[in-house]
Amino acid sequence: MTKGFAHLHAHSPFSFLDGASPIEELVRQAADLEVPALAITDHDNLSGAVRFVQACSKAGIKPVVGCELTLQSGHHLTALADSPDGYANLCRLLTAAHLGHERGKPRTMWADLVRHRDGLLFLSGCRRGEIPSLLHRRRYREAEQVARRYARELGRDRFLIELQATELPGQHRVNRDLAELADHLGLVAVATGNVHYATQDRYPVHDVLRCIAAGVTLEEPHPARPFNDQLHLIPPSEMRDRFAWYPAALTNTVAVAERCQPALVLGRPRHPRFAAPPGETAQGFLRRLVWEGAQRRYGRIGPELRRRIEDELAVIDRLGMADYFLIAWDVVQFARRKGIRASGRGSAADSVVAYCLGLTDVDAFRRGLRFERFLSVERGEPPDIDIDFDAGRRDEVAAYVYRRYGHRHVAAVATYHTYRARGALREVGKVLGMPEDVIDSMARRMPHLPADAIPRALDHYPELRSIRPGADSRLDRWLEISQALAGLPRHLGTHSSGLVIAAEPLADITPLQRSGKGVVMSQFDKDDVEALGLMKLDLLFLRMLGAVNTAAAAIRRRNPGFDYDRIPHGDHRTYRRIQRGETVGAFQLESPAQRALHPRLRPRGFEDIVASVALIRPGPIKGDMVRPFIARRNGQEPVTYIHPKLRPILEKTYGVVLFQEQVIEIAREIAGFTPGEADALRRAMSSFRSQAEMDRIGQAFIAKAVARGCAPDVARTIFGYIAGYAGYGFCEAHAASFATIAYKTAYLLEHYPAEFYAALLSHQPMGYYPPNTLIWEAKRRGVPVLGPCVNRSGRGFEVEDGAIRVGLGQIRTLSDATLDAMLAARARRPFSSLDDFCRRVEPLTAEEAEQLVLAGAFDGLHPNRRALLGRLPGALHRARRARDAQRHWDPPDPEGAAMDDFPILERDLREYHALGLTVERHLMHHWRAVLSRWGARTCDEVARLPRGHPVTAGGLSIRPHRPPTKSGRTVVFLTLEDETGLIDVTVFEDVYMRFGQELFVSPGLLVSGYVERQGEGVSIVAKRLEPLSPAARGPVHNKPLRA
Amino acid sequence: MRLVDVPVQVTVQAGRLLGFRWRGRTRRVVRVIDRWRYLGRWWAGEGEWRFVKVETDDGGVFELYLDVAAGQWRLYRVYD
Repeated sequence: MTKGFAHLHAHSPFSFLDGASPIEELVRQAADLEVPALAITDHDNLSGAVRFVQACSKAGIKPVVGCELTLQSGHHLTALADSPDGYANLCRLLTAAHLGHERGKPRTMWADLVRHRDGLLFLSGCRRGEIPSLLHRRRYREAEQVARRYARELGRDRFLIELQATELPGQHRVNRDLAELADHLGLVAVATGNVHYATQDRYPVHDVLRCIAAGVTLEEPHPARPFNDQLHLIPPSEMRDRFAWYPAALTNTVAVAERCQPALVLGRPRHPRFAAPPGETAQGFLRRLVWEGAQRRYGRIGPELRRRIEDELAVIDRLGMADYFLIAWDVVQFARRKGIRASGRGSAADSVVAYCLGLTDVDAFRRGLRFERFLSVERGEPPDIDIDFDAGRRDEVAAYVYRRYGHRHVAAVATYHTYRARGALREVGKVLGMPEDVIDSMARRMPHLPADAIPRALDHYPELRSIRPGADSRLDRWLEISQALAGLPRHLGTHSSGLVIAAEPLADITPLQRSGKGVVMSQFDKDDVEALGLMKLDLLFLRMLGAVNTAAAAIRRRNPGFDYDRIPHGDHRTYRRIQRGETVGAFQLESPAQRALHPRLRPRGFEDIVASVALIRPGPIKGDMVRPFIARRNGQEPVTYIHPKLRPILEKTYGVVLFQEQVIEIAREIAGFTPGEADALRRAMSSFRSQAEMDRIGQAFIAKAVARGCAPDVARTIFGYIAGYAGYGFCEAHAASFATIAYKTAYLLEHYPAEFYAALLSHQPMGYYPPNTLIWEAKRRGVPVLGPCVNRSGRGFEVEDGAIRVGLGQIRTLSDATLDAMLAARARRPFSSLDDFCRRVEPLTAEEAEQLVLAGAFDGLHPNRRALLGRLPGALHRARRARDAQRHWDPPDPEGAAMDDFPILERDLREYHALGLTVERHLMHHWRAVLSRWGARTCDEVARLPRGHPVTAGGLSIRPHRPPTKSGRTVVFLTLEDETGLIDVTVFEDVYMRFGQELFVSPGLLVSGYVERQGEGVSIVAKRLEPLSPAARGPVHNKPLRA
Repeated sequence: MRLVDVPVQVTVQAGRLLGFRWRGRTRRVVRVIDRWRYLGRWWAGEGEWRFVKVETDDGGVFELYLDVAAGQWRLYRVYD
């Protein structure tokens, strides 16, 4: 007889709020306990299966893939796959359970279970299993009947009785009843632990997760909460004690595990198929398209180009990727036919084939980009073709893919939303009964960090200084449990862009379910679908492409000849704007770091824009590439190479490592790295996970370089470039793709600011700056801005006689249904009064009407907002009455008593609250008098001061952030905005530590420091910071406006 | 059924409850009907209680528990 014990019922965190230990921890603990096999049995999903199999394979444990199914009756049933057929059947069962029922309430139908039982073993389940629950209620005869039915319909050799070691009231008796039943019916019985965490110390985490799921606090009892801490991986020795009265239940677990063959086969390619025209293979069709495209793109094809294309086609052929390229080509063709703007990004732009097919617009041949970066036989990984589409129309493209390949063969990719510090603090704080304002303050001050970084954050960040662990046990528990949620998945979401396409029906490979938006998606994320051998197509959305389309349409109304695709290269005025750093709104060029870079770099050609897009990235910044690049580009420093082999690699970037592929080429040329070794280097660099891995690669690099004749100190210096670059960087192809859009949007900004800003504002959220900043930037450019108007505004921002008219869609709380009703009613005739509006617009809530008034949308009918607000309840009441009586009109309200409008500060604050921006006066206008008294300058005045001049300025604080720095020290960058303009502020670590408590939470700041100038760029280096609070504001021209 | 919740003296051998003394009388356990573990308000410092429901030699049914942290046995409920 087989000896030992295997855990056949274990929930991972992918039971979502019902599993409290990471998969790796479960597997590690099982290995420490010398358990020969471990089964994963999450609730109605297999999302954890791939990483579970990977973790088990690393730990030398046999993985058994399974699931705890919820039957239509609500009863649970444990299912284990004993073969690949069983896995496929489990996928089919889960797909039917999810897609056939209300979202979030999967139910497996008995008929499906019987139809798809092959390759599956079934265990009678936990207390919620049909048989155990009958036994708990001492309904023995029914329990026996059900067990007989299960055995008959699922198969006697496939149905097992499950005894559980949960130490719950009644469980011991039920276990004995179950054992008796198994013996009586000749069924096999197994003991399980119904595991929900690896070790007992994770019990509080499990309890808190169950409270989150049930929406209760710790003090509120709930049946969904665990009764005790016995849902851990119980050691086999302890299981022997607990089941000493029935030892076969333990040994049977090992026999079951031995019966289970590997069910989830990873790495088997499952390529999609493209239907080539009759008589042609996919490979042949691809060749034809590529050579036709080459003819179009290049005209004359020289021998070198011909060889390059042939080489690429050979690799594509060898890896069997022709269908994948054709699918991507087909999708782009569809977008073009429909006028949907598309642009390839990422490493696909390293391919001449992709360029010839029109997947990208970067000429990889002319730029000398290496195809291996994208696809190599040695790596053998599926390529990643990422295509950006106009955000507003991306779903049309996705719908086409579903239609073209069939709904059974296409699905969205999932994402696992995992707990990070802020979310964990909010949810755990609520369960622990912490006061709401305390939770909110803590969460808002916490930087965006993983949950296990909370202790480090408390030590490091000044805004968290007031939180002192150790002083209050409740606070300590809050922090400790929040931290323990690090990396646990909270729920499944849809990946924003990834689609999987397979030749086989997807439900045989992955369970499918519906997303919140109704999209059918895999239960696996992008890494897992890749591990499953599925191919992924990334249909990304880029809001900027939508904004560009909107702007181009508006421009054509006054300049019919305008063509975005024919924007002239090298436009002098556009480059001057970029050189001045006046690029708020331009794609990739608008951040403070970019705006500070350009006056120093002084871009004067497209390659400079490519470089600037690539320079402001963590890799080049941490590698200290920015300053040398600028100096060399501007001839202030000679271009030198420490090794002659570096010249051809770094020549186009003035001897500086700028692009990710340059790092790879250095590794290949200097140290002779194979493509596989180089790829390991790329991964180590971009994931910046393991210093040990980087050190190991460094040693290999130096040894190999020395063996190839490089001096050791030179080899070390060169590896220093590589190590310095560690962190994310763009590849040249990607930078070039983005630079094209960057230049063109800078052109629009220079020549068509009204149309471009209106388009940007209509496509929010996007870009770096909030709508208020964009509106005021447009005004500073001389573009008039008109407030929202119920009779004039459209849904989005529009250009009206050269001015930007604020769109009604900008009004917070206004629903689409109300907006539609407004526009439809107005199309019949304009609104004549508030009463008329309330009568004719339905649905309309009181809050919507109130926000419309406060946003100024009725100013054209009546300028006194307070008076209108006073009349609103009456108007709504009369409108309801009129509608109820089915009258088309109602006598208007006699004019109420004269009422002063709001004081202007209140009027503007209410407008800001309703719209997210102000139209007439910048909010800082209200602080100006007091700021002047304090000696504070406007942003415009600061910009005219000499370098080193002491200065104080106040303004709205825009996007304070802490990017990576070459020194590793914390530096905060932010932009101050007032009624005269923007000024960037740098806060070094010492000042941040001293004055940073309110930096990330205060909407307004008073900054004292000195002026810094670099080229035409001006900023403030802060020496002192203070929050600007409304209480500190002195009375400004606060006279009420009279109606 | 009555809730009692009073400390009692017990006789335990190898972790098994053999008997207990209540109201001046020693009762011998003849059958363990059920046992389970309960973890109380862990956030308030409460620990594990190990319950056992037994039948005694006089035909009575009792629920007792061991407060693990305190190391104390208590008679919890009496089934009339």
